[in-house]
Amino acid sequence: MILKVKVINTGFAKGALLISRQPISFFGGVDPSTGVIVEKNHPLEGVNLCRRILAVPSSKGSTVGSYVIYGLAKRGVAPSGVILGQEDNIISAGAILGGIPVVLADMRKILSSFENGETVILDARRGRILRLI
Amino acid sequence: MKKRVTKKVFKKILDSIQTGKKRYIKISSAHLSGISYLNIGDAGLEFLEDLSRSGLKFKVRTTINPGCVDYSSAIKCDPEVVEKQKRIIRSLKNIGAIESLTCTPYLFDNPLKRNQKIAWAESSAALYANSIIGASTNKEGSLTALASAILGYTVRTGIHLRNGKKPKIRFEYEGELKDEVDCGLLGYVMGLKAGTEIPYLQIKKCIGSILCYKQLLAGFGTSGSAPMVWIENLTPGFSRVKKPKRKIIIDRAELEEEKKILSEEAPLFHSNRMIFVTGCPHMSLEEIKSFHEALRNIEKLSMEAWVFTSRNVYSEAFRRGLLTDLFEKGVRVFKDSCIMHCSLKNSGIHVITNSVKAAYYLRGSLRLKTTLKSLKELVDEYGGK
Repeated sequence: MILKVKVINTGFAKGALLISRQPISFFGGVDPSTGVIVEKNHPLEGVNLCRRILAVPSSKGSTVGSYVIYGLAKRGVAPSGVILGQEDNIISAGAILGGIPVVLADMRKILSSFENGETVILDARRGRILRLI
Repeated sequence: MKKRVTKKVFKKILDSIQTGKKRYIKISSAHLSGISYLNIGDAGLEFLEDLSRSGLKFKVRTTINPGCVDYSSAIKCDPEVVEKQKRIIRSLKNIGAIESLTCTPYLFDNPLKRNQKIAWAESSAALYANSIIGASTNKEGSLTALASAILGYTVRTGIHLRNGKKPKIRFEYEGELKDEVDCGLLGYVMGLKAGTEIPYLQIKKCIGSILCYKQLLAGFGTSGSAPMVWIENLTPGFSRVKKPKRKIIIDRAELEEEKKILSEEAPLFHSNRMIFVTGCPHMSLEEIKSFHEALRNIEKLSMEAWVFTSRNVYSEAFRRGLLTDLFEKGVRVFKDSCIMHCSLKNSGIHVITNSVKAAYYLRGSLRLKTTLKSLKELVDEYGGK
């Protein structure tokens, strides 16, 4: 399975896919020291983003979220790669600061092509997502 | 990760907001938001300190928004917040920022000319720059403005395009604007209706004071995302602009409806602590003068009042003796900080303000109760005799 995507920040990443159907607020919604989602009643509350390939429709909330993503990357607890459902300056800027590859993809295609939790390779140089075989 | 912050990173940030062919435009001035420790927290502090260590410098005149602490004030804040706010400002100064600490940089610290291309964050300042002075800036985010300040250019999108300033929607307001609160509410309602589109505004009964337009634009910037408002008889070049055909009439009732959401009845007795807060955006010298004038015949306000302004206006007002008079009447004047003040967090204080923008953020971010009242109402109701 190879899915073509648009590159926002180049690089390669490999990891277990974590699909969030809900937007994530990085400022206030994610523990900046561990990468665990702490937002009350978020479907992924308690899940750790660390070294996952995060597929998320967008971010929500404060623009300070960019700085939080940068901090996660510095501590080595950020997602290894991000798949965005729509253009999102907060996540993109934070990921660029932290050196995390980012692509833009159709979330419906992600949901129909991949299983949550399976290992994928994010090729954010040529713009594709591959299932690891 | 031991990655240094580099210029390349900032170029990528700018590129990420522009789809298709990358085109840039030189800027001659930048203004940054995201200065307050209450807002950016440890994550932002850490990033700015890393940036300051990287050796990169701002390429253009760069001013900064207020923080959350006025060091010289008697109102004290958590020492940790004070220390961290200092470190944020120190880092920015290292990179070359002017320590303006104001949301009205156009008054003194970062003066503008018509048609000047700039990258300003802080929505109320960007709207003022475009709509009142006739400069050109998109409504930048904290990081895109920072990137432009470092690089000396921004991406040619939005308002920088050939027809980027063209108004797409016309608003007509037929009611009366009796004070600055009405003006803020009108701006707020326009922002809700305009979304991303630049509006052209016609007001039947034009009130002359610039304070009104300052509040109108700050309200507009709170609810809308367009970077400017064409104001008939005010915005430079308004007469040459083609008025949009699509027209929306706004009436008084719509203003009252939004007011209900942002403002509740002030408690009659001072069961909870109540303060009056003004200076969002920061007061100009003229505004302080007229507030001083309004309090002329009053011995002391029966409620504590807080005024926020820039350090430049503060020194000038102090030199003229205006501030001493205000102190005597129970008015505290703050500089370097704003209504999102460190001491208001978790304070449970009921805030009365003449700023729609202030009411919106005090309710949303600091979870305080707010009431909207104009300066005149403050003097009438709490002036005593």
